[in-house]
Amino acid sequence: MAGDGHRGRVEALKFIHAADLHIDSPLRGLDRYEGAPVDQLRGASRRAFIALVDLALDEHVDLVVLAGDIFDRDLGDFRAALFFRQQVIRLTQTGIKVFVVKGNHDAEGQITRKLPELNGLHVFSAKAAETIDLPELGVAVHGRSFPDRAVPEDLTPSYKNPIPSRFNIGVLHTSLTGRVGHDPYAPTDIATLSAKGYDYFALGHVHAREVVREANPRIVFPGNLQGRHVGETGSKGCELIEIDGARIVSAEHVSLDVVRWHQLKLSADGLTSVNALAQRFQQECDNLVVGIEDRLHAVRVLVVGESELHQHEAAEPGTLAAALQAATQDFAKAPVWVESVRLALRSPIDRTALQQREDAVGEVLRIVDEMRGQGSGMREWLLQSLDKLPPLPSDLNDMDPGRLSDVDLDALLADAEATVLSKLTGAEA
Amino acid sequence: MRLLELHLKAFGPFTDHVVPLGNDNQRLVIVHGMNEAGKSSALRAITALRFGVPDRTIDAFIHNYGNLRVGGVFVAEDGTQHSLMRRKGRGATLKSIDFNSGGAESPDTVSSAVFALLTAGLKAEEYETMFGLDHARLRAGGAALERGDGELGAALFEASTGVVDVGAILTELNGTAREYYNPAAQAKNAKFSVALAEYRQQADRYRDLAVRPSKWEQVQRVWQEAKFVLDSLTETHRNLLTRQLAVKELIAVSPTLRELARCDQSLSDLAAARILDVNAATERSTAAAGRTDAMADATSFEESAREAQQRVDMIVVDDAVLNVEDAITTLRASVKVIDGYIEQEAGAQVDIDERTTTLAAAVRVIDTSKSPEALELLAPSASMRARLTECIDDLVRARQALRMHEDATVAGMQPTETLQDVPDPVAVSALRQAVESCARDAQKLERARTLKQEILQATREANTALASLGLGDEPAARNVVPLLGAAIDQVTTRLAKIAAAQNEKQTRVDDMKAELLQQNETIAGLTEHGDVPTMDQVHRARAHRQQGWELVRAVYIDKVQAETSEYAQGQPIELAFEEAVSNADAAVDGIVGDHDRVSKLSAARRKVAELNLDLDTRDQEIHALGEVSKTEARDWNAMLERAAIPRMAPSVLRDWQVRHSECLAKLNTVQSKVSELQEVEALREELRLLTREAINRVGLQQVSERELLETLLSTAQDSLREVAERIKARDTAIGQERQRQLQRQQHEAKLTELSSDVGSARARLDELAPAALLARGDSTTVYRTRLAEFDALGAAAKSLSEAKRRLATATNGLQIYSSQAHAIADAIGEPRPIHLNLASEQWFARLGKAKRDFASKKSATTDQLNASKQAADCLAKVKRHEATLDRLCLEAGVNSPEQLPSVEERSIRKRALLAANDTAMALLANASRRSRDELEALLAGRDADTLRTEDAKIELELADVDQRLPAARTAEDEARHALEMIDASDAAAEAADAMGRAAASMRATLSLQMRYRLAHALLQEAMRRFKLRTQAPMLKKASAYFAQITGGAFEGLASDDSDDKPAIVGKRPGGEAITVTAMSEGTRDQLYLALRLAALDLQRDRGVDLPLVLDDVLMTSDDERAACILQALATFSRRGQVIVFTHHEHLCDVARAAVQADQLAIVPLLRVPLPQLNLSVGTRPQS
Repeated sequence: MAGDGHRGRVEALKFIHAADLHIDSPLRGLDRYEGAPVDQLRGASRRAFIALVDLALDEHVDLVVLAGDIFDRDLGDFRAALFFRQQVIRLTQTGIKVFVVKGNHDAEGQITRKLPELNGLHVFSAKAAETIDLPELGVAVHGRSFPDRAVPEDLTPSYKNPIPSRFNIGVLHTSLTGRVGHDPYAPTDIATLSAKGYDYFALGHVHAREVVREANPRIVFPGNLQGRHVGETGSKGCELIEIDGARIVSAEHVSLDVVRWHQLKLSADGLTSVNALAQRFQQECDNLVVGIEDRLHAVRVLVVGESELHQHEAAEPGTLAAALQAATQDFAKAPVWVESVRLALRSPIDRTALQQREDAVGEVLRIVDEMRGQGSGMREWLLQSLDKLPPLPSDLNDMDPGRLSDVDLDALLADAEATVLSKLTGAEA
Repeated sequence: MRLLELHLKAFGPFTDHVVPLGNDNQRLVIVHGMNEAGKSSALRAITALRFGVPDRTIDAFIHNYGNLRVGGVFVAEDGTQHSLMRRKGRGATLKSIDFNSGGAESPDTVSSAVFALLTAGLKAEEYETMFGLDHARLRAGGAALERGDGELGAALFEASTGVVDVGAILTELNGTAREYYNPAAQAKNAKFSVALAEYRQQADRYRDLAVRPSKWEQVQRVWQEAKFVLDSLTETHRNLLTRQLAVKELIAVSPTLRELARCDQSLSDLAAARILDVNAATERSTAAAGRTDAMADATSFEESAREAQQRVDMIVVDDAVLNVEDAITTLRASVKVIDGYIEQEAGAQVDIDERTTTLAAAVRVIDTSKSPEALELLAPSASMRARLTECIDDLVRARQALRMHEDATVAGMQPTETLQDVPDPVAVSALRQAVESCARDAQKLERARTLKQEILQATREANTALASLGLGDEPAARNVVPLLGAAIDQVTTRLAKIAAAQNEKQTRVDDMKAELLQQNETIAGLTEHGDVPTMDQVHRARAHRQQGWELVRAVYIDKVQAETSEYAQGQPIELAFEEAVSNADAAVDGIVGDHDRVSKLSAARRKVAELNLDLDTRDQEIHALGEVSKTEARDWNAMLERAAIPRMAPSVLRDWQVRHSECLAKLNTVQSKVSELQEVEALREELRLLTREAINRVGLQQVSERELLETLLSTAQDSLREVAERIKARDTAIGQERQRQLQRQQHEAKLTELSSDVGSARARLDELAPAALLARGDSTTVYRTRLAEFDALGAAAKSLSEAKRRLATATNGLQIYSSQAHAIADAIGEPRPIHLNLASEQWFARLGKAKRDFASKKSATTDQLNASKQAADCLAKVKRHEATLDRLCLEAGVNSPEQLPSVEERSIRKRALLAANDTAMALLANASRRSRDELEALLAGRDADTLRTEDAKIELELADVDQRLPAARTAEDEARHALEMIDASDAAAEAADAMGRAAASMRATLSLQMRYRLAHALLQEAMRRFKLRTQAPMLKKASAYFAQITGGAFEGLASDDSDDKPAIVGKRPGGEAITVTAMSEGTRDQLYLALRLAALDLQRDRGVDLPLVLDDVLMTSDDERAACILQALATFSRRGQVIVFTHHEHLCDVARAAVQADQLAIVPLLRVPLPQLNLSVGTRPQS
């Protein structure tokens, strides 16, 4: 760790740290229902990056550090790179320097490899760690790009020693010691990073924001710039760091996302009508959007509890989802879109009692139970009962019913049972 | 658990009513009541007692929700009785109760065991479905059996739960699943298929829009290379231009350099010559001429000065008179004043005499006893006079006012004519509101006019559009389901491919036919000069020869055959054989001899054969393509038919669909405008009625029923105007009457006031009478006369005084002027004058002469001074010119001005040379940025020819580069444009987004489709298994019930397994099987009832003991059939209770006749009040 006395020349410095831009990566799963707010969803990743550039210009930052995964590995359209270049030019034209390391996505894709060179933009080499000394700013930036998608070794030891009298920033794409939902790349740990003697480690790869270490050095995953699916909830944006006298005097997370994702567990206990559920949903939405009314909120709703609504849904699948979706139309505080409605409702009916009945209802329940006991037999029967799909594009092959897990099939069977029961018991006699 | 008593404590129309439902053996209970007896409420009460009162009930119209109570006495199979009371509410609403001891409720909740016996684990809806049956359900059940052709599985399944039509459920589940996804190839409109088509379309779009990095790199590389070429050429061009410029520069500067050299030589010759000022010569000549002229002028001015001095000396001026010039002038100007004073003095004296006489006369008029002076003192002062005048005027005005007031007539105080009635204000207000409503909606009403025209226009457009689309009417247009672009493209592509293949093959056929014709012509040409032997002929001749040989051998050698043969055709065999040998040889000889023709003919014939074969093949292929095309066309037409689109080619469908959507828009426009017109017309009618009614209510005018709104409005406005006029007239009359009354009161008061004013004015005047030397009571005329007399007296006195003053003024003025004249005379030495005016004239003449002399002397003096000064100036000029000439000589380096001209000439020459040198240097500077030395160095050794040669060479090189530059520039432009075309738009990303959305939609759709498909399969499986499991016992039970219900018309039921779907059939006593569809409607209903009874029997086998409740199920049965049904119900009721509600009392008699009395309970539904029960929660009742 460089002593404070070395950094007397660093008077005032501001920089932005962001990562995992995944430009042009589509937002997933938002069109289950009619009338999706396509215009608001379109180009969300681009608009988030534009917001970052606007922030950099407004705040007059000196550096922008991007810690990998600028583009999605599946992306095949080079226009994303041209867009990135346009925005970077906005920064470099005002003297802001931009530093980029390639992450696992960039290393695998072709886009970053062909990225046109620009004055003021430095993409760190993948062959060896580089240090860019900026004496006029009193800053040294260290970084190394991923040579390949899979980097099993710790890259930190290859990073050069800190430059005395500079504020040393390390830029690294890593999974650290491992993070749930993220592949283990360039593994390292806090102790190794701390021992490097830098002042700030700008990490990338993990999409959830995490301040790994508060200070000496400050180590941060800023999270991605824009959540892309319901697994990436909460505020997304960048870190705005202000340094004065070689010390970090301000470290702020700035929200830049244009679509905010949420997962909402909605209890239907005691509710007997769809309207009541919709009202409860609106109340929950009130809490969700407080202070962030200026952007679209995409919500996945998990309806839980024991309620007669189970029968409503069984009689007309999609009723609850439609009701919640409709409720967003009357919610004026902020634009809200229901990404999907998952149901974990329990029916108030006594299934055991029904099963004992000698009539058709009992017959249905007994068949279902019997099938569940058969394991592969159930699978075979279910798949035979389902329609064969037409030839699908390869990236949609997962829709093939044959690929459904046993758990999915069991849930499907339960849904089918509920629908049959609702038809039998609710049918006009 | 059977219900023995139903206690309708507070439910529906009932209050404290109990319905007994039979004793222990009477398990078939018939409850009859007339209409409005509360039968339906009692039915609902039975369900509510077991399962609770629903949140929303129609049975709270007498008793409010909180007070609803229904109770009952139940008995279980083991004989245990339970008395229960249910209230409406949440939570534990069922309590035990003791009806025998005043109805005290137990505080404890009913045990779960009792609850289980009550409900058998069912919900209210399930209970009503399974154990309830009314006539409508019975009919529906029978109808469902007919629809399902008595399908056994469905029939048993439906009967078991009370579900009416499981087939309909299956159809619905299947139909819903198909809405989401239908694997049938033609089902393109299912949501999944639509989303998949969208996905594919977006995927294609993404592929079209996406720019691969390698492509971008390639385009960029092309641009960089083109740019390099362009930059290189541009650089070469620039260098050539630089060189050309340098050569042209040298060519341009070489003459200038030669001129500079010439200047240098001449200047060296004039090195000693001085450069004089440019104006030196002019200055010199000017100075010399100026000096001569100034000397002549000085002499002239000195002579003039001497002459002026002589004139001064000759003039003498009269200074004495000039010294009193002002006094003489003043006196001369006062001649008229002096004359005036003289005349004024004489006139004043005459006036004094006349005024004295007048004054004496005025005194005499007023009071002869007093002197004028005394009377003047007694005359009223100005203030007294003012007071007197004021009092006189007051009195006169007061009298005049009083007289005028008395004379004034009280006009307009009479009441006006009778007024018309004003209509009821409420009616008027209503009319006004109606008119205002019309005014508010005037624009809307006005809109109707244009709307009709617009509708006509829009309809015409829509009809034109419909006609152009080939659609008959609007429904036809609205039924159209537009096809997806992808589907149209697919068909178009397929048809185009087929057409292309057909064209290609037809072209080939045409070519082949042409070739065939050519080959045939070749053959004809070859055979034109006789037959051409062919190998076939050779083969045939040889075969014939061989046949002959074999015949010869058989006849002559082997002797196995007779000599006669068809071969020989009547001639000897050997001759025929020899002829055959000869022919064979001739054929071979012919081929050998005409080899060329033979080979050509063979080739041509082979070609013809090949071509014919190919032609057949091609024809078949074309035919096959035609068939494919027809199939495609059929499929296409079928697709169009399904989409309700007229037949047309796919290529025009896109345009047609666009026009169709425009047509729909036009139809919508028509619809919208028609709706708007209808609204306007409705509004018009509403306003018309409103206005008409309002007019009639006002009553000023009556209008007919069918008056138009415009007429009504006009009438309404007339009525309103008339109402307004009547109101105004009424208000005016009231106001005028009030005004008249006020005027009368004011008149009287004013009269009193004016009389008082006259009295007080008289008193004030009388008080002033002494001051006017008059008595009290004198008239105002007397007062005015006396004041006039005092005025005359004052005027006479004042006139006399004035005359005296004027006399004194004249006398004083004349004395002043005399004093002034005496002083002047003393000053100029003349005697004092007597006549002032004469003296002043003489003195004024003397003063004039003196002033003229003084002026002449002053002018001469001035002339002398001016001439002297000008002479001095001329002498000064002479000195300045001489000084100039001296300076010029000094500058030129000569001693006298006469030497100056030659020096000036050398100076001019040298100056011109220097100027020429400067001009050349300037030209050089303009022509080149290089220095003279540098240019001379560059030119060293290069003459004009050399330079021109160099210039021509560069020109050639430039032309070459110029020729290559446009192509390079174009190439760079195109490459750059191609690069710029790859913008940073997110169109491809948007397509990817759209793919994601389509995929999400597919997943969501598929999930629902699978759910419905599985539900369908599950229900089918349940039916299958249910049938397998229950067919035998249920059919057996149902068969027995059916035989009983039909009174033996059928002996039972059976399963007809002849089809893949076994069906129920009724068995006649003779063994005849009657299908469900062949049964009468009533029989089918009875079959359904039998199946239901059988199913409930099975339920009872499993311990479900709930009463079967029937509601008027016998209403359409005749007595005989009703008796049979009741007997069957009695059979069924041996194992459980059956409660039959009916409003047909005769059924009670039918029941009594058909069913054993100990099994039957007949209960009239009468509202018999119960003893008042104490419903307060108390201690557990004693059993």
